[in-house]
Amino acid sequence: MARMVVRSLGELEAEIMDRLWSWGRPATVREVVDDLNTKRPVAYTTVMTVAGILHTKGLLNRHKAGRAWVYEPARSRDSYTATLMQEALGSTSDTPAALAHFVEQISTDEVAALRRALAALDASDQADER
Amino acid sequence: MSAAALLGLWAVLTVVALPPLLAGARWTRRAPLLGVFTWLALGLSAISSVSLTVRQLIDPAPHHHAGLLHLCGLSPEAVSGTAPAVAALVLLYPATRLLHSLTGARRGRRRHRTLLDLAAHRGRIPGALLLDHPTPTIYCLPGRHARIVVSRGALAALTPPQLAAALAHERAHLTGRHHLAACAAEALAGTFGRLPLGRLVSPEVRTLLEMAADDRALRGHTPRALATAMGVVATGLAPAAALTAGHQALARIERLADHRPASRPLLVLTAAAPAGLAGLPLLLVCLPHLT
Repeated sequence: MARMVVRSLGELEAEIMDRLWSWGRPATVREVVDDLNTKRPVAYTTVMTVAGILHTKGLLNRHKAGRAWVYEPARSRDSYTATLMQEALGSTSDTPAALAHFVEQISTDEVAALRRALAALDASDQADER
Repeated sequence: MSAAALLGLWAVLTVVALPPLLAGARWTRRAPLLGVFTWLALGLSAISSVSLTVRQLIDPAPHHHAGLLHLCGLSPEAVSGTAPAVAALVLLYPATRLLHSLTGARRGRRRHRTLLDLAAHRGRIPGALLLDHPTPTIYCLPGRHARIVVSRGALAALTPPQLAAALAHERAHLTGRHHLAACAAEALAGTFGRLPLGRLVSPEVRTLLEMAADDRALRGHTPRALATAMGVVATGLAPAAALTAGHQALARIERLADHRPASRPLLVLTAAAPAGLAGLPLLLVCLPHLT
């Protein structure tokens, strides 16, 4: 049970960030809750708590507008994506065993050799069909 | 020859002479998982023979001839005292390297996953997260909360059969827990540094793990779909820092062009290799006492 709660909290974090990123403007907890409620029921206090967590983690900035907090993402989605891609492509991470790549990327010199290998594969495919 | 000399000789063989031979062996390409086990067994054999050599040098006294365990120095009397303690100390270093490698990788994955779950799009690709980035890449985060990630560049460049083959390859990494073998190889590389075993074990194990995942993907997908997917992702816009391991992609694609699974006799024959390598040091302790 506890695990389910934790998992749904993680999902709620993603949903809140997703909305704020796609709206591209600061928004109140009320606005986020109303939008989430068009899909499923979520309590106002839950969203308020999770937005607070995201603020503590440094993912959301907030300021007071009247009596309510207005939230906005600290960084753009693209900037996080760029960080992730840098790690994934191995140009920053110091833990190479952490990720497993489908294939390493290669230099232009090797592209020609690779095309030949793919051509050989095509040739053997056609030989099989004959 | 004394047990210490035999063990020392075997240690030199496993660390210096055998790794280049194993790296050059062709059978590992046909039975990649067995190749991985053989590399790890070679590392285990190297570590245990170094440790037992130390033990024999400190305390070369003859053993109690009361059964194989006694002969091998595993009796209760034989595991107390200075010599076994120092031998155990020798084991501490590789054990620490392994722990370091495992925890480091796990920390890196957790950090990456936290950000990934927020920034990636879910639900667009079944069983995978989509990162909105033009560079084609596909990778997985292994471990308990595993994720497979596909970039928009890869999604756009691959046909559905090619993408399916690539995803099957990633799932093979996850279900086979390949990251644990990769961590073990990294620990061995750290332990043996610039010696041949230390230089070769990690790149070799990584390549063999990729080939093992390729083989698994081929159960449900054509070599052509998998190889083309590899070609597309490998030749994608690559940043300078990533231009290192290209020979691996080439070796894998050439292998798919000439795809023949290992024959059963080969499998049986080579399955003996890891077991033999791992067991030999203990046998060497006994050998002088048996004659």
